[in-house]
Amino acid sequence: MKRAAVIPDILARVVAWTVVVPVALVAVAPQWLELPGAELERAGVALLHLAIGIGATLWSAAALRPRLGVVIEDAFGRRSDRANAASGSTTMTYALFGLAFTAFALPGAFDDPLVALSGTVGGVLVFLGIATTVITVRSVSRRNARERYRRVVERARADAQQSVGDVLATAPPRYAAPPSRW
Amino acid sequence: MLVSTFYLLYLGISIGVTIWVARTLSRNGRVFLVNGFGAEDVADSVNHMLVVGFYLVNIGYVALALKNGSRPVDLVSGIEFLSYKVGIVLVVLGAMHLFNVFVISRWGRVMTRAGHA
Repeated sequence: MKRAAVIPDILARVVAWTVVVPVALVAVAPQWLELPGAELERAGVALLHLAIGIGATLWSAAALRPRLGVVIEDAFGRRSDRANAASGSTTMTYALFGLAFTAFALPGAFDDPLVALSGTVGGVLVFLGIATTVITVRSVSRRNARERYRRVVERARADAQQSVGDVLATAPPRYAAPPSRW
Repeated sequence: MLVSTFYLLYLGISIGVTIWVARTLSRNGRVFLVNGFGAEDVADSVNHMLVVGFYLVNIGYVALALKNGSRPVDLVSGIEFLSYKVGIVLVVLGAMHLFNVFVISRWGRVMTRAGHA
């Protein structure tokens, strides 16, 4: 799908959920509408914080998984089963910690709802960003270590073959001839 | 009204600079990554993950720093507020950029050494 087509699709989903969630909440528990203004404001900020935090966590996990898969697949010598398992479990751990941090970082008492929301959402984004960077650096470093090891083994193997070739060229083995001529 | 204007200006400038730095880093960093890794798909994946991390950390910091410090009450304090906040964001961006450049150059060095040892 082209990028231009993806963006309206995402926008449509966001708009749909922005309408669906409040309507569903009011339908399930109409007493929400009778809450005093300050409490309703706090509930609204908390719900928005959860929506943005969960959305950011799931979006970044979805962006991370295929790219991490490519790096890990390269590290495992193009073994896609292991790469799938490794990237899946890493992304799942990332998403779980991200969701937990989002849940813990709910805004407390505040004067200005938008500033409070910005602060708590900012904290979640910084946490997710640091986690993404750490996962990237760690997985690429491990991939590089494996690649280095592979090259060392390849070079050692080539050296060994070359040495055997040299030895055979200078001094043919006793059993170089077929068994009938031993 | 004044407070909202300065908050919006702060958000606009900070997010704009973040996007500009991220695009510059990803465009120029890709060349070094392709050179280091040899494989273009791996280099593009690593590049994308670094950019996602960069955006999350910096936009998160921009949002987090909004509530810190005093609110502007007049035009002069508004300009001071804007200058201080944008300055801090630029320092954080510079630190993240430096970190990414350091990581990319280290990977390139390691892979080049492994290839020519």
